[in-house]
Amino acid sequence: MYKYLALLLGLLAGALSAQEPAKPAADAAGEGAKPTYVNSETCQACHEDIFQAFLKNPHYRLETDKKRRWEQKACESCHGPGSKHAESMTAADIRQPAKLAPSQADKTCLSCHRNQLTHAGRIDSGHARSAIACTSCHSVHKPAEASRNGRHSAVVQQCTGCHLNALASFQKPHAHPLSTIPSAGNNGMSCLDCHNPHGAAARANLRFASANEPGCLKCHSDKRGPFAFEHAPMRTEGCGACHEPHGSANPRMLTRPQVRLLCLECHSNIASQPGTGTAAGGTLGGIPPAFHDLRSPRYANCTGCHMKIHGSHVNRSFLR
Amino acid sequence: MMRTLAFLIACALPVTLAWGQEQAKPEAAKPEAAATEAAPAAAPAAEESSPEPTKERNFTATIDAGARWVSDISGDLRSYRSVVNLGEGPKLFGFEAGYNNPSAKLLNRFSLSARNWGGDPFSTLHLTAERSRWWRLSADYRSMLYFNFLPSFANPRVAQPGLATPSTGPDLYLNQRGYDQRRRTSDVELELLPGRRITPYAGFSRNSGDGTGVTPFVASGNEYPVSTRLSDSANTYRGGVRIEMERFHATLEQGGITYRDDQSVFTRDRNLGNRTGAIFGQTLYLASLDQAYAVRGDSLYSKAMVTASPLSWLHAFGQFLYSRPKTEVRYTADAQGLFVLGLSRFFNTGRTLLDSAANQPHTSASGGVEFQAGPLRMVNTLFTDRFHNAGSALLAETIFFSPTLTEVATSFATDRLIVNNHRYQVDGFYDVARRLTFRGGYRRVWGDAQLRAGQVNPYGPRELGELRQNVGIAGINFRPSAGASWNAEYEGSSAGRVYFRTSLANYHRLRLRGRQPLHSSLLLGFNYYLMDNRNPFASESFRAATQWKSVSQAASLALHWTPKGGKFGSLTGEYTHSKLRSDLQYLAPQILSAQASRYVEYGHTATALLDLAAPRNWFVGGPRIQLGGSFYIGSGTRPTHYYQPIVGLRLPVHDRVEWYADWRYYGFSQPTYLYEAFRTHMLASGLRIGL
Repeated sequence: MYKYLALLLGLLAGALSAQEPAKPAADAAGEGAKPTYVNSETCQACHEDIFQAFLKNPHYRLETDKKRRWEQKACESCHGPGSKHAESMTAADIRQPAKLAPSQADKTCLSCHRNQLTHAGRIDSGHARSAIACTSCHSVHKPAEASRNGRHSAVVQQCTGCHLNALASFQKPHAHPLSTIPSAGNNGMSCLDCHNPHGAAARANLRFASANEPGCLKCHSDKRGPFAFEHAPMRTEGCGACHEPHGSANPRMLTRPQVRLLCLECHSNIASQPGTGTAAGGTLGGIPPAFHDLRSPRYANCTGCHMKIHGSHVNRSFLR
Repeated sequence: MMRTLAFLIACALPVTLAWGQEQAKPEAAKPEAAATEAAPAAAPAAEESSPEPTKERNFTATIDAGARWVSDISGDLRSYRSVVNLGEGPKLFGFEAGYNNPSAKLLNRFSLSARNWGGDPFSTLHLTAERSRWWRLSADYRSMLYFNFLPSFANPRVAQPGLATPSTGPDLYLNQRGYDQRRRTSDVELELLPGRRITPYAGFSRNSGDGTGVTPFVASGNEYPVSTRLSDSANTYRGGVRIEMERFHATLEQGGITYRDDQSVFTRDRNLGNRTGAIFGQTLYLASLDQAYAVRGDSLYSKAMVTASPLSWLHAFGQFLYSRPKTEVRYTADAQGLFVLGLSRFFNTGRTLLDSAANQPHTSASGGVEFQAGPLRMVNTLFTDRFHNAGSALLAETIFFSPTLTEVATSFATDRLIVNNHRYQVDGFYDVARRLTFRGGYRRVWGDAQLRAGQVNPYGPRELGELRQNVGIAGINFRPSAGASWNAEYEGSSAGRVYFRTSLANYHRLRLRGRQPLHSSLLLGFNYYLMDNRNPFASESFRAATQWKSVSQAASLALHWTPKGGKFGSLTGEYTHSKLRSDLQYLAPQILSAQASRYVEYGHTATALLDLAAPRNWFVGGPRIQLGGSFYIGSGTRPTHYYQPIVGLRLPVHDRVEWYADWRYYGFSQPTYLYEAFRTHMLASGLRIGL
């Protein structure tokens, strides 16, 4: 661990020494007269290629959208008043969201996008907490189709560009089919099928299915229940209690190669407080009865008998 | 032989076409050459004028069709199908069609994409159509083939193929759970007046599965692997309205689900099951079985979400989610053979009839407030979740000891699971400078769970679990230059209470993540992850022996190199070294002695892709070659090697036609479980045609 830390600290020191001097925020606005709004036609005169691409971007509707009150000023809705920049033609005289501090860049985007369904949990998202700005992932000027084509593999590449650990997990043999390497016929799921990068109430930005049911049930609806006899960890800890959803070396993406060990790691509690059923450590999962002789192959795989381990409609011990 | 011949023809044809095209070009190329020679004179004029705008076409389409060949699969076919499952034959690898015309009257945007059709395990179809500000339709369909039959699923260390029953094959002894299913998901949503103040919407989604599997039938004293038919579906109907004002948004949605799950077993094969020894000289067996689960369920759910920005420095959100799924089940089983009740009461027929029901009201709510004052931002969030499952089952069981001697037993069982979880978190962010942000925070998680204890628990009918966790959070985000970001996060939790021994309890988690451009064409990415978790002991009597320690580490390095703006290609590579070590003592049920459950995994994973592009004037058409792939080499408890190298060739044979061929190798081996290894070569070739 220490060698990695030392390496990173060294890199950090190098980057700090190479850092250009921070400019005061007021520089972007410039000195002298307060800049005023010109319109998008003025921007188009110099940035024709960007403007042409922007015509097919969903943001272009601001040009005609009375509701947003940016008619004829779609460019300046994000870049701010452009009169000074139009005169000086220097980049320092215009706001560039991609170069702002993430909280300031987000403020620009969220002035319109905060009130959207997908962003309802943004405040609670890991990306917002880690200062990952909207512009880190979204390209504002491109035509919408440019980002839609090959969407799954493009999204996967975008996410795994930072989430390198997740990319590594998906290279394990037992994994959800993700398009990690583009090739013919290798297009499967995308990260967005399970996660909402804008935020969600569930941990790891996991999506819910049908209001507040675990998002995994969207595809694995045969595990949905409710069961007359529930297996508690499936509801309290989620599927991740036993499975590695990004990928595992173990069959069925289990966290352990042997099912009995996976089960007994929890089912080893002896109640120490008679009458309460609670173990001294306070954890749930009572020890199985003594006839479970682990030396016998019949007891090697708990799910050989406890087959309805995700929950049973019939039997309290998940035998049917 | 024919297959090889077809492959050679498929490979040779496009090259011939491309060569022919190139040979035919000189005549047409002459005017271009003349124009190039004349260019110096015209160059100053071109510099003065603005660049010519890019012409965007309203309609674009790409079709990507071909075939895949799979060599003979060496090793275990079932493992191959469980891990890869790609088949051969003609395929529609991809189809994309897009239409974008902002000024059109009826339809402004349309896109249709289809991928992996022709028997592939993951086929998708996606459609969106939109008339700006009037309506938007989106539809998604997926078909997934799910095959899973890995002999090592249970416990490969005790592989004893000879113990299997004649009817089910030698490997079933260890893996009596297998699936061969097709799952389909579809979703359609129609929005009216998108982008306006009030947007009503309605949607429908469906998830279904059909197929066969292997499942154990558990009778007293023995388990019998039998084949089963599986069929389930869930339909979700939803409708709602979004209200979007200047500083306020609300979404209200009401939905409903209908659900069914039918599983059935019908067998007349004599089955000796897993028990190999006789009981009082009698060998147990299953002669026939009719078993059926008929599960019917429904649920209503409600969603409400609100966001508001009443002041420029104050933002708030809230969500309320409520669902009430319930199921009703009819289960029947008619088993004939020789079974045992207790130790010595043998019988030949058992019939079971069961009706059960479960009801699960589930309420969740979350809310948050964000204040911003200059460089300081504070975020407070609260999440609360209450879950209550009440189930009951009425069982009638008839046992036929002889044609005239029967015993009827009825029982009524109830079950209840109550879970209350809450989470409060406060985070503060301070922009020390434009490129540097500090973060500090605190999270409190608390809750309780009540559930029925195991059947033999002598201490009471219920178990009580508590959740108490205090977590400190710190972080730093540094952006040394444009496109660069360094992020560090730390979480530490004090001693608390958790529901399960394997839950996160006393833990330290460190995440370092960053991207740093080293050059205009070279981007470096890195990750470091550390998780150190220690958990409660299982019992006072075994305090020292049953504590758990788990340490997980992963360090990754990635680079992306695009020299000359990608003109000659690019190189993308990632390498991760991971370590996971878990030491937990569990109690063996039969003797109550502490045993070790030690899981160790050292992994080396790499993914790389080298994309080489030859300029058009170097070789016919300007081909591209891709070399790369991925590997995972793991050692420890379950050593595993999994290689997926890939070589691809892209050759333009016309302005809008490209021929491609991909070779891919899958090699999977586990030194401890050699019987599960497989390896195969795969070749896919086809044409990508742009319209």
